Amino acid sequence: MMILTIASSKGGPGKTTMAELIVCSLASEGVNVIALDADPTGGLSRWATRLYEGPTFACHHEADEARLAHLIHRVAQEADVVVVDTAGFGNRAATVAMTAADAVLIPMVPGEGDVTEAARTVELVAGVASAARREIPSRVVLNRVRSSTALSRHAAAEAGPLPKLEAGLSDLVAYGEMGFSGRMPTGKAGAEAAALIAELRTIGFLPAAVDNTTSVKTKYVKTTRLGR
Amino acid sequence: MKGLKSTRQAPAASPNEMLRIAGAAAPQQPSAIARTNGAEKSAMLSVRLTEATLDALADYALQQGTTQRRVIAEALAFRGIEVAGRDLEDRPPPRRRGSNRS
Repeated sequence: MMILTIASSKGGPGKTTMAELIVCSLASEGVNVIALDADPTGGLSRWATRLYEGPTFACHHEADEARLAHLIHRVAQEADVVVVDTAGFGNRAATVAMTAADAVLIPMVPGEGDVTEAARTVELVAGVASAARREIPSRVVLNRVRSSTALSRHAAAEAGPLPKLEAGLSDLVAYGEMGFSGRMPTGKAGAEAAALIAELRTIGFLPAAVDNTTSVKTKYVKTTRLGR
Repeated sequence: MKGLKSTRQAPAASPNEMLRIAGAAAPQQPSAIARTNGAEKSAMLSVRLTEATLDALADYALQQGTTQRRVIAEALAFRGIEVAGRDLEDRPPPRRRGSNRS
């Protein structure tokens, strides 16, 4: 069992998109994955309930930190992988999700504010790891990258000291379309998502898959009620 | 279903431990959700149980260093009953039944 928390103290870097891609990819492989939506806006759970089309995964929405802690503790015993999406500002639920995590993924789009907040999130994860007296690795993952632009290159350079993934997501409409279609993107976006999953497995942020697939379940998304 | 190799080194922390660590690492952070006055209102529930059950509850709470109220709230949450976040927090110190037992 592994808990991967997706966090950033800034809104809009693509946390929910990243969570959708990872959960979708793992579910399509037949992995027993559970998604936890700790963002009060409920973007991930709304997507999972109303739009997602693919193999099953359970999704729970809980933004109250105390209830989230209990929920994480419970679902961690039920799933092989738990992916936690968090709200884009410093809040207790996100910190609880970091505390429970085996690893933290920090999406970052090119921009001065994004680099600054990514660095702050890396520091917060280090602080949580220190308080928890265990290692909680974190990685920044670049999102909405236009490799040909000076802005993307500059942002990547500014984020140089931060622990980063090689994989990243380009500025493709396919990711936005996924939010409306509920389907895993194909083509270049699909290849990028596959590369992201592969690297997460390589560095131990996701468990290595063992190829003993029997069947992939049909769609059934379970959600719990929204947190107040 | 794919079999997976677990890479977890240590067992997951308890919910109480998660909240403690999060509070220590970032004590100034606000809750992600606004708490309304209505949600904060509390009321009493009186239930009659055998003394042996109540003693066992008191012993367990003392052993865990928490309150009987929280033990009950956690049990309800475990059964899937929606429990307010405040009821799952460790607030008043353990007292009354069993508090003066060695």
